[in-house]
Amino acid sequence: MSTNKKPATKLVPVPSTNIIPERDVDKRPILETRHLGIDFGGLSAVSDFNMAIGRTEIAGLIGPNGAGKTTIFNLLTKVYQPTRGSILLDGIDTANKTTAQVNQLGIARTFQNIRLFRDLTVLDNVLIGLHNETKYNLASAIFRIPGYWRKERIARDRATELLSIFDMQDLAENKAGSLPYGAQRRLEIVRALATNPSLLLLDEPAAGMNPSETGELMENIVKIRDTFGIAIMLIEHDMNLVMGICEGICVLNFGKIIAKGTPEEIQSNPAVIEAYLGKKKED
Amino acid sequence: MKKNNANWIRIPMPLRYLINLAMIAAVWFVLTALMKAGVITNYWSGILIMVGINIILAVSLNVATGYLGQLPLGHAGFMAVGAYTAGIFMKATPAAALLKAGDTAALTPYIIIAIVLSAIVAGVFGLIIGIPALRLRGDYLAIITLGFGEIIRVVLTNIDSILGFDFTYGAAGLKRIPKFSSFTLVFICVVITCTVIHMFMKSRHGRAVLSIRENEIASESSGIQTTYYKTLAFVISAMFAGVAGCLYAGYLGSLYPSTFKFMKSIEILVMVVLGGMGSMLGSVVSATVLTFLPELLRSVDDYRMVAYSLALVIMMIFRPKGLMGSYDFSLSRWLEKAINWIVGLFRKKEPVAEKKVIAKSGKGGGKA
Repeated sequence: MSTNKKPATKLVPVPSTNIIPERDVDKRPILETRHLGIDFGGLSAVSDFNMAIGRTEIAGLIGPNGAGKTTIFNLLTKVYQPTRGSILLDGIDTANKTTAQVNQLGIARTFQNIRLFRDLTVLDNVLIGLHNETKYNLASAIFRIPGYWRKERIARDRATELLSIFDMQDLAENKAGSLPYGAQRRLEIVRALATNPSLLLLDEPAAGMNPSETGELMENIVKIRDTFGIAIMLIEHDMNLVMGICEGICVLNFGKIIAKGTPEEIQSNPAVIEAYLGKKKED
Repeated sequence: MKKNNANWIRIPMPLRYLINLAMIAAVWFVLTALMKAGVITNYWSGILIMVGINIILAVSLNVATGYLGQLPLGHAGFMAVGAYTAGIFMKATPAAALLKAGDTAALTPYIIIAIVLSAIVAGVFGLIIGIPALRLRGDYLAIITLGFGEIIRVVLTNIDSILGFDFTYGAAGLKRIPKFSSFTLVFICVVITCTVIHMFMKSRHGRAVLSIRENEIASESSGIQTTYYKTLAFVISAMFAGVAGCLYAGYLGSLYPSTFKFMKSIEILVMVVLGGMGSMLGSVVSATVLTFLPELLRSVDDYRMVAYSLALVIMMIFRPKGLMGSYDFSLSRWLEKAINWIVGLFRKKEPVAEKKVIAKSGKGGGKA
C-alpha cells in the first residue's frame, strides 16, 4: 500500500536498544516511534516512548493496569494526537494523518472492548474492512454496471477466504453481535486483516478466553504473521501467550518504558519484577 | 445454512430485476386503471399523491436516521428548499401555458429540470448544513438541524420584505404554480428514490454508512473516511427531500412557509421511527398508513388527533423497534423461498437413501 510512496524521512539506523529479529534487522522497521508522548491535562500518560518493530516481528507490549498500553495503540492509530514525538510508519511520518488515513497506510487494529458492527452480518463486517480494497464509485454502484458485480464478487470471495483463516466461513450470514465471545474477537482480527495492513495491533486478543482457546489463538497469530508476512504488535496480560510467541517485548509502567528485550531477558529483569510484584522490603 | 446448500435454487440476477420491474408496473397499472374506472375518486387519488410524497420524505430521512444513525430534525427545511426552487422555476418557465394546453411532451423536460434542480439545490443546502452539523452528535445535531429548519422557514417568510423583491411572496405564499404532479410522475419518483437508495445501501458506500451507525471508532479504524460518508448520506437525504418538495409544490400549486414548520419535520420523523429505523419497507408502509389514517379518521373529526396519537403510543408500546424493525423485504428472495419449498415437496418423494445423505451433509456443514 505504502510501497509506492516516497518516504518522508531518511532511513535511520535502528537504535540499539530495540529488539528486532535477525531476519528483519537489515530492513527498515515497519514502525518506529521517537520520543512519543501525550499529556492529558497535567498528567503525562505516555512519555518518551521509543520503539521499533521489524517487518515480520511479533512484538509484545505489557505492563500493569493503567500503564498506558492502550493509549499507545490510540496514539499509533491517531485516535489521540500525540503531544510530543513522532511516529514513522514504514518511514512515513504520520503527523497530520487521520485514523482512516493511518489505516490506509497500513496499521489495522482490534479493540480491548470489542467494537464490531453488531447489527450487520459477519460477512458485511469483513466487507467493510475491505472497503478500500474494493474500488468502484458511487455511480457504478447505483447503476450496477458490470464492474460493480465483478468487484463485489471479488470482495465477497476475499472475505470468505479471510474468514476461513479462523474457520468462520459458515457463520458469514449470522449477525456479528450474535456470535459467541471468542468468535467476536476472531472476527475483529479478520476485519482488521481485511484492510490489508502491514502492522496489526491486537489489544488483548486473549482476554476472556480459556487456555485451550488461547493456545489456538497463539497458533493463529503466528500463522497470520507467516501467511501475510506482516508485523504484529499485541497487548496482553496472558504471560503464556506473550512469552510464547513474542520475539521482542516492551514493558511499560506509568507511561514509561522500563524494560525492552527478548522474553528471557524480560522474565529475569528486576525492574519488571518490581513493577509486577512490588519491591522487596529491605530493612 | 440453507444458502450454501447445493439444492437451493437461486433466481439469477437479471431475472430478479425483471420480476421487481414487473411487480412495480403491475401496481402502477392497477392503480391507474382503478382511477380511470372511477373506483378511486379524485379525492383519494390526491391522497395517493400525498402518500407518494410522504414515502419519498420518509425513505430519504431514513438514510440519515436509520442508516447513518443521526437524528436530524430539519427535514422539512430541505423539503421547503426543494419546493420553493421548483415553484419559482416553474413559474419562470412557460410550463403553465403548456400544462393548460395539455402538451405533455413539451412539459416533460421542464418537469425533469425542476426535479433535478430541486434535488441539487436541496443537496447544496444539505452540504452547507451537514459539514458543521455532522461534527456534532446526538442531541446537538438534532438541535442544530432543528435551528436550520426554522431558519429556512423564517427566511422564506421575510426575505421579500427585506430585499424588496417579489421572490417568495412571504407569508402570503407562492401561488399559481403549475400543478404538474400527476400520479404517474409521483409514482415514478417514488420508484427512482427507493431504487437509488437501495442500490446505494447495497454497495461499499452504503456499508460504510452503516458501519458509522454501528460503531464510528471501529469504522474509522477500518479505513473509512467517516466525515465524507456522513456528509454524503446527509446530502443524499436532503436531495430526495428536495425532490419530495418539488412534487409537493407541483401538487398543491401554492406554497406557504408555515407548511414547513418544525411539526412537519417531526411528522416525517414519526413515519421513520414508526416504520422501523433502517428499514425501507417500514418507511414506505408507515408513510402510507400515517397518510391514510388521518383521512380515514375524518368521520370522528373531533377525536381525530386523539386517535392518531393513541395509535402511535400503542404502536410504540407493542413494537418499540417499529413496524418492521430492521427487516427489509425482497420479493425475489421470497419467490426463491417459495420455489424451493415447492421443489422441496417433490424431493421428499425421492428414495429414502438419498434423503439421508442430504441430511448428513447438512449436519456436517452446520457444525464446521
